[in-house]
Amino acid sequence: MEIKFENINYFCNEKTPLKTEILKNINFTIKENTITSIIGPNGSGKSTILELIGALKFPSSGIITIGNYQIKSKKQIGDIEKLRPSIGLVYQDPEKQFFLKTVREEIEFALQNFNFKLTEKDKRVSDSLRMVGLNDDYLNRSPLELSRGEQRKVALAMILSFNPKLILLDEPTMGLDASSRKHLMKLLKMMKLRYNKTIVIVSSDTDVLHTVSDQVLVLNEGRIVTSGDKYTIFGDYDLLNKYHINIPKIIEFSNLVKHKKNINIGYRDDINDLMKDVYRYVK
Amino acid sequence: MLNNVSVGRYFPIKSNIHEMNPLSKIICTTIFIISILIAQDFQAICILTLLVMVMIMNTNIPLTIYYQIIKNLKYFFLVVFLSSSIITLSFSAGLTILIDIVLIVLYLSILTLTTPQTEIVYGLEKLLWPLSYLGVKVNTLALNISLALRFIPTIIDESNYILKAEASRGIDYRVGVKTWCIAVKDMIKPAIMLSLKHLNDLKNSMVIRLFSIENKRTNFRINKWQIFDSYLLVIHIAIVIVIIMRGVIL
Amino acid sequence: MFFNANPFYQVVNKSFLYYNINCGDRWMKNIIEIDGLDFKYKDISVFNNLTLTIKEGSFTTVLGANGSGKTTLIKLILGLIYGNSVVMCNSIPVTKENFKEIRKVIGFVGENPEQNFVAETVMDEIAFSLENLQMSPQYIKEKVMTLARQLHLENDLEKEPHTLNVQKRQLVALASALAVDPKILIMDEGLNNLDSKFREEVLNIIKKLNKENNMTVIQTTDNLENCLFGDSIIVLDEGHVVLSGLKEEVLEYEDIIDKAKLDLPFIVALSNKLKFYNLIDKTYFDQEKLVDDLWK
Repeated sequence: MEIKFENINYFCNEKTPLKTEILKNINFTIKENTITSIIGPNGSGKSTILELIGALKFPSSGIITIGNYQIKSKKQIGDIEKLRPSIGLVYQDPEKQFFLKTVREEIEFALQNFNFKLTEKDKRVSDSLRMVGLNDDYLNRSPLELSRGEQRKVALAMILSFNPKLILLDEPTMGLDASSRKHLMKLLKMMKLRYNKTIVIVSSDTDVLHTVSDQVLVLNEGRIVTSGDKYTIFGDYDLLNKYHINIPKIIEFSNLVKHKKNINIGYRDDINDLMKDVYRYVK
Repeated sequence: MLNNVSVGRYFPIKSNIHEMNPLSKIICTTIFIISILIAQDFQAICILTLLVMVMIMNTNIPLTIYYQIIKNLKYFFLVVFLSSSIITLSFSAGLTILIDIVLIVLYLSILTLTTPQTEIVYGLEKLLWPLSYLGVKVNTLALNISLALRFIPTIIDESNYILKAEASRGIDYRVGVKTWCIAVKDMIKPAIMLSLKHLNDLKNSMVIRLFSIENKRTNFRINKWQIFDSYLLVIHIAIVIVIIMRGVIL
Repeated sequence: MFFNANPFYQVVNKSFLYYNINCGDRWMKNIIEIDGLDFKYKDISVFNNLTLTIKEGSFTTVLGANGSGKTTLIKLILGLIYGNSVVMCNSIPVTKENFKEIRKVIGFVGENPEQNFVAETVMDEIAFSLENLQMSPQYIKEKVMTLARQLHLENDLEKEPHTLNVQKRQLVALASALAVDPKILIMDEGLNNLDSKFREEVLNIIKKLNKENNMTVIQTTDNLENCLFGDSIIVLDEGHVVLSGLKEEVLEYEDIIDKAKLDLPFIVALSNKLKFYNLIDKTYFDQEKLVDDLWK
């Protein structure tokens, strides 16, 4: 599903003296079947963009087009409900999203609301748990007892269960250990390639974003600074420094080599590939 | 989703009321609540309404904040009006009680919007000090009351988060009455549990920073009692005396 | 000196020996000592015969994946929970009776400081601990102003902490912790929310205090890049200390770190690979130096 933002403005607490401008004049397009990362300093409005795509907030002005639907204002609640089964949003704080007694109930919640057949439910629940790397033992446990990493995985399973075309993730890697992070990135790549999903990730963990993104959007103080493919954006040292965004270490290394020794060893995604390049150039 | 302008949030701005000593504000609040409970007739309520409006003007806080607070409680007010009308079997009594409650909410909002929590605790401790002779743990009581007030915005934040999580998985409370009921019912227990967890974390962090109920603390920033405090206190006392006298005479 | 059954512990003890000989008193004193501690949480054993020490004046990173026990360890040091054996902190046993003495010397910055703000203005928030210690209003005012100036918070003193952005909130939490001039600063994943430039600024302030005032710094994290800031590392794996010592030595044990579900910092991983192919002969911690030496 293609996502298009046209002239979007968003104000928080409108009609009160606490009105603040969160997003101004946002224009971008996210193509189908891609993984897009949204990066930017804290407070730049990244999470709000996700909430706007997820129809949890409505734009103060402008049009958001998701697939065949257009969202313009609050009055379209009825339409939005038809859009919901196609959008899955995973929040930053997993523990704040749970409100049922067991993991099984949490995962089934969305299935029930979106009218999935009863016969398929159990299979879907187990499948989604397995996809995130957990087994059926977790089904009867309370989500509030789990560790942060496990909670994050359950939150992801909750939305994978109803197979949305669009997956939105807000800081998915925070609190995950190294092997879980790798696992998650592999999962997202599979979602894109095998299941043709469109994925949007908001994160400040650029080392991890670097391995999966196709497009990158840079946000600052509610405005889009620039967008482009990952090597262009992550390789732009001045840009990332200006907005206090962490440079992926692997890119930083290639940049250093280019600047100091004038050798263009190129950008790599994996440390082993980088190793081979360095070896070649040193010898 | 839910607007977070509510009772319990401090609004820092320079005004006469903000600079008042917290003790005087709390005494005035108590006198006001007593006045409301005693006032029976239309004129008394008018005087009290006038008092509230004058005080609101003196806080320099934009009126839309107060309007938002009242708006956020509209269902609560509706329930109060309907149930009191039914119990007293008269709409005018229900209306009177409704106005009383609205005035009390406004006055409490003035208090919480103009007084930081630490000062409220200080004021409450001083006010309730006579109770310590009856064996009541005044410090703990004051702290609990002020924490309860401080937690209203937190509970609203938590509820918002859960409502959004529900909406993203199919139950959007804005769509219709049925989904509203389901959404709210599922939200209450986790919102309360999360808030209690917050309370516990807060207690831990206070204890780590050497807070202890029994010990005395330095208060390095309490506003001193000034002329304006006495002035306002006298006005409140005068009003309550007037109301009592009218009650006695009529 | 500790010797226990764990074979890796013995290997790394030599770094303690080295420093004891060369740096004199500064590294002699153990500011945290845990010996044979068991701790269970709801029938799940978190620590079993845990033994570790942290030296005074060091900047120690406690590394561990989720569930390895980092937060539990911090709670044990702070005296919020108790195991079966006593934790020694600053040579005082951590017990309910001593909790005031212990907490006077510890400054704590948690992961989500906004959940723990107790006051309505930044100034009151920083002053909170000092008010509890019954310091004079004069002293409190001066201390708050000094800290605000050091951390660039002078213009935010009257604001509500919730309304500040994430970086400033972290600074307020740090200022509140430093208000009591603690001997030990504990940061529980404290630096994760900050971007790189900001983190550097904050770390420089902390490092200065570490060197000048001999303030011990303990940070817990699962992010390997953070461990490059300190000088010592303790690695936890499912409730056991598997590595403990200076960072240069600990980071050589790639397999153990991998087994603990952690990744090496990029620069160390790259150094190890380059070492394997004989392009360099030691582990580097600075990318620029590595690049310079590779193409001399």
